[in-house]
Amino acid sequence: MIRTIDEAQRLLAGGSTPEELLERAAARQAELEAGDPALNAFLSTIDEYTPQESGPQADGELEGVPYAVKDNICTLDLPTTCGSLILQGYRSPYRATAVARLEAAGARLFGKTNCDEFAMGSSTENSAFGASRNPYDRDRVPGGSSGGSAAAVAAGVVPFALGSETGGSVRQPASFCGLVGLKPSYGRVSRYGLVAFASSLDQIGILTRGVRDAGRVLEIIAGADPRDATCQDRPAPRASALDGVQLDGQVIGVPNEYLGLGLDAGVRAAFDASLAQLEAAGAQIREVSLPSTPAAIPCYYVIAPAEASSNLARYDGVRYGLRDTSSSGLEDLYSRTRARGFGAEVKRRIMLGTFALSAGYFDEFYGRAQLVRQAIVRDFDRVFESEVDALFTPTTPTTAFRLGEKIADPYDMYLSDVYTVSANLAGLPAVSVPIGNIGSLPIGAQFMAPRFGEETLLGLALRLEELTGYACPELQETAA
Amino acid sequence: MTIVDPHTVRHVARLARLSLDESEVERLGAEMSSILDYFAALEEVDVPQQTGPTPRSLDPVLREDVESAERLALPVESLAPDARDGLIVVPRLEALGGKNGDS
Repeated sequence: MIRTIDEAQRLLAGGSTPEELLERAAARQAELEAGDPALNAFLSTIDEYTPQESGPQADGELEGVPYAVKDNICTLDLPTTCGSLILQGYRSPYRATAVARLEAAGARLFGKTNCDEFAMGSSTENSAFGASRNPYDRDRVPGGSSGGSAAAVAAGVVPFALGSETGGSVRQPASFCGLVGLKPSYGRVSRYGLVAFASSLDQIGILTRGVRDAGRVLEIIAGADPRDATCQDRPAPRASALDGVQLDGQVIGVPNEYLGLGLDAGVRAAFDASLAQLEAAGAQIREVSLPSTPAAIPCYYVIAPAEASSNLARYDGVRYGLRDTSSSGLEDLYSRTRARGFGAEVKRRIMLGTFALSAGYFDEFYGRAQLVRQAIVRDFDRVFESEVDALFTPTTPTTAFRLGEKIADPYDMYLSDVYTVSANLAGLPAVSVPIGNIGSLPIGAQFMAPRFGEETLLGLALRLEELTGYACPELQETAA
Repeated sequence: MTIVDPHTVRHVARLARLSLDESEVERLGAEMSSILDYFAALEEVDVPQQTGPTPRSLDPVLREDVESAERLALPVESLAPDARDGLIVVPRLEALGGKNGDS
């Protein structure tokens, strides 16, 4: 197992080669896939480890450290399928900026991880290539949509992985798998090479075992990119700044709307215990209100599908992957290819989004959702301007649920994002940190901070990690 | 309460270029109606009078608008399985069994 970047670097300093670390990752991966049921964290892995020429990269910050990438982020060395039949076997002619920056820092790609199709889901059960499983309990989901990335890091295949967030797809699986899951501010990390789902919400995120590793990876991948006009020209958050953030004097808000119905009693108890620890360490805890919160899920499930219905129009059987050759003309080619290539959840969201944008319903749904989004932004602006430095809430209402438990009821599945979607709608940075467990199942809590406040955000998360004693539970192998 | 009837489902599916069989029309109609019920919460929020850019204070980072000799960042050959004279070769419509004019 390789649990952290430090651990990988100690092995390298001790004489291991980067190729040996990749072999170690492969051995761990094989062990997990031999389990019954298999973890199914990866959709593809590098199978030939050619030594890279040393050169300007040899002293890179992550020289020789293996990592994994969610399969909706473009890489040159492996296919990019987005967990969809419609992109099965697709190879991108270019790589994402985040991947290029990691490679420039010397990190070595081990594999592409499983995810819900086009990142639409909260369990990875919507992957066309089978669900991933939670390493802590293989009858349960690892969360989603970056569930493969979470399972891979939690099981110790690689010390860090990239995921992507549109409504909580890094933080929710991090919470379910006992990891740190960072969703940077919208505009912090280039989206170039992240396959578009909902462009006003999407952001590449990071899954690690500890906060420091998340900070180190963020510092490398953050920053302006001429290939993404929404990526802001600001200095990258410094991993070294985290130690300067103290709890003493920080005002941390707890929005009462996040502690309501649906919150599991065990999760609540762990959250309250963490809150008490933060307070005892000098933070000032203040109850606040974000009154638009109850509309966040409906708002998200109008805006994200509306943007998806537009973004996914490009998969038409002409330019990418799957093509239905039984078609009788161009329109028929589009419709049949899309019917065969997309899974049930993607079709549902394309239909919802197209409906919300269609004549007669646009104002009632899409127009209204945009106004509600403004109200949600206004709520956050108000508390950050006048009341608190950061917000603290549970990441998810429950611990990891069972495979199949929510698949029959789409809205019930959507509600597992109830605490995470608002940060995406408002473009805020947020990070989930493990705070304890119920039985073998990890529990997470998240901080949210003002836009581009990643240094404070991660500093607070690091202090909490120290207080809870690194609450990621030890992995007990639940299946042979 | 918004009921998404089979006629609406078929209309939306046409707009979305998705071919659906009858069982999917029925299932999606029921699911969409049920999901839209929850969207009533959108009406319960005190909202601003008009929308603005979101997320707020987002400044697009634009490059200088200058013409470049390079028309594409990557050579055409790397973007498609078949290319000729700098153009991507796509299948003829006839090869798809279709008739021209369908689009």
